[in-house]
Amino acid sequence: MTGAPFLVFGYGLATVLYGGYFLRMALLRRTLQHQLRAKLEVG
Amino acid sequence: MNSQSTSQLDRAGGQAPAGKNIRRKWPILGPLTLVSLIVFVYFAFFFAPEDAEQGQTQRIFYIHVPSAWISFVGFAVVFASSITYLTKRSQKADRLAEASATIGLLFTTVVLVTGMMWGRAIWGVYWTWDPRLTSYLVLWLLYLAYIALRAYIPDPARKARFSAILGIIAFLDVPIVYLSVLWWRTLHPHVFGPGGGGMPGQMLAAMFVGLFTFTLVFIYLVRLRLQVGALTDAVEEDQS
Amino acid sequence: MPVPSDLEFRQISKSFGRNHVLKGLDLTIPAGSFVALMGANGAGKTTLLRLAGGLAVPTSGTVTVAGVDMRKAGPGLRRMIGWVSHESLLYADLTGRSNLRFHANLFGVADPDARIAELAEALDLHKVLDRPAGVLSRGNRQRLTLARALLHGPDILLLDEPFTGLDEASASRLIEILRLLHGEGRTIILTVHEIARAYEGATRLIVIENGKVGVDRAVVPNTPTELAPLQQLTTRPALIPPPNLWRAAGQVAAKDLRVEWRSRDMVGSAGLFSFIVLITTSFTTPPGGGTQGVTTGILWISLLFAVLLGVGRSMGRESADRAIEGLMLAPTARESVFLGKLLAGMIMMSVIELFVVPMFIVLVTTGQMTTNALELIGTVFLATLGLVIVSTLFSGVAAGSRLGDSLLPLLVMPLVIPLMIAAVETTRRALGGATAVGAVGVPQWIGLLGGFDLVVGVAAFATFAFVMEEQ
Repeated sequence: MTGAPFLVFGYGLATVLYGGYFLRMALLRRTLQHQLRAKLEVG
Repeated sequence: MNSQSTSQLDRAGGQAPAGKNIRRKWPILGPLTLVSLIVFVYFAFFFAPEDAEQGQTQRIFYIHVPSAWISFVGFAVVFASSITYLTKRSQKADRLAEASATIGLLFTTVVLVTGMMWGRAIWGVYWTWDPRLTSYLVLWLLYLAYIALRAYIPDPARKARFSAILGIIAFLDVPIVYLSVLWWRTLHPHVFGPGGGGMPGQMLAAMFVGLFTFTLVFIYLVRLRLQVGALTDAVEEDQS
Repeated sequence: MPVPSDLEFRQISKSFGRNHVLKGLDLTIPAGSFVALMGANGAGKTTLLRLAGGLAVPTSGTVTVAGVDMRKAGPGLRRMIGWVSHESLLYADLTGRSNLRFHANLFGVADPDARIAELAEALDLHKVLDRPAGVLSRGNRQRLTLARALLHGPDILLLDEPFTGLDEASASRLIEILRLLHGEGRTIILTVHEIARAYEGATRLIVIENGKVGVDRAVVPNTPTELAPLQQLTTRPALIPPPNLWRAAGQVAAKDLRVEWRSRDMVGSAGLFSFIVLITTSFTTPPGGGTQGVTTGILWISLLFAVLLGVGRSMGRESADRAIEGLMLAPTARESVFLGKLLAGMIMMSVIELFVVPMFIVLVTTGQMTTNALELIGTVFLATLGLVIVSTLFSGVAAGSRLGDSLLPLLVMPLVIPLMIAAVETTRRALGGATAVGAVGVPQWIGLLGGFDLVVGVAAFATFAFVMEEQ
């Protein structure tokens, strides 16, 4: 099984990149929605 | 997300936040992407057979190649949106260009990284200066230049205008880059070329599943980015 | 009688990022009005004026002059407008006369020298005309700026806080001039800070508040002081059609070269830079010439940075005193600025290359040389053209940003990679370097260079107007 570590690294890094970006944006979206709701309810 | 607060806003004369509108437009996208990813994992790791010469490492192709194709599409979207922005001054076009460029850069990075892993496993080196790799690196640099330009111009109108100009010229440049580098050297194996004798059906299937899946991932992430952008604008908007 | 030229603002909104300066403003200024615009700092008076002058573009709404949208302004429309602000729009390195001649030619004044003489008489500019604009005192510069604005006899004169920094004598003089012009039927709009100024000639006072017109009332101007005879000013100069694209480009190029001649800025620094790179390389290249592939790369790296430096400076000079706005006001196609700067850039780079390339051949490529001169010149020309096109376009973009000069290389370098590759390869062969086996021939490379130049040239030409839309 040559190069298996590279396979793992490859998919692993891809998951970190795609997944990490997704997580960051999704969390940001949630935070912004809360902020917006708060703002609209006050104003 | 509940209809009560939305109608409250309507009565108050406000607008439901754009992010919610977009999500409500294609609510199926998220779940569909997730399912697709699961299916992809099955195809890439189980359905597709192990490659005779390259072993398990060859499986990187199923994410590497589709991501590469989509990165080109992303660039084309930046190009088309840029033209639309300049001709119609559409804010939406500018936002789409920005989202596409950001996600495009992400995809391009993944392609480079997975390519390096594959290269190390098969050729023994992380990098060579052959035509495909070199011109692809240039694509990465162009994406980066686009993002950098936007980062350093604070005024939104000028930012949109100038990045549109870059988006157009960069896209037109890509084929010329490729041609020049191709004439300069040649090394990268052709995926569907004589070297590997083409791909057996099951591998092709996995490749297409990958293409479908990562197209969905691209669209999903672009939509997400657009939502965040719209929400950011809404939150920071002056209410005077 | 001046052409009827009502100025109308319809639902004008203008935002700078999140700063919403004007919000749905409506205003009509009939021809022949004398309006004083007031408002707190940041209220939008300057913004409004710039919109009227075509120096800015509204976020929404339309500005029309004589019924024509400013955005679609043809040469005739832009020529109706004269602009005065506390930036002079002059080139510091050129004399007053040279500056005025440049603008007169761009605006299609039939006899520039005669007109300049008239204005010199009226505005007492004799001492000022033959000195570089950069060394003038504030009062002198203001008078020169006024002359520049009046060169083409505009119907609408826009002045942005013209009294700031003027001594009382100059201010009185200015008021006299404005009253006279108004008496002749021109439209005058000026922004002022002190309320007293609003009563020195204006018949209408407008205050901008909350992004809209807050106050709008008629005023009665104070009794004028004794007017000195200023008849020369009221003469409308004979006008010819403004220069077409190529002519205007030639004028811009000539101006750039004149400025370069005076300041020796670009050729000096860029040329010196190239020279130093080459000298350094020749010290570090092993005897026998080293790898020719690498060394022609050095030549092109040094030329690339020379272009970036030089062209960056050229655009930078337009930022000083907002000279670029003078070009924006001109009733010529904005692409002429691109062509003009391109031409000037090519000429300056040619001068640099006349020196650098032979230096390179002598110092760095030792050994035998079967130099194909024609191939060499052709390649250097085409490659330089591509570099200058891309740099000229993006220097306009980079000039206003936070990174300025540093951003330009980041934008340009990825784009010109094919150019660099082609240039390195073809110069290497033109200098007698061996060709690789089964490699692509020189004609194809030159074709690639030509193709690149064509594609980016057309794209740059098509998009340059957007760069100049608002600074």
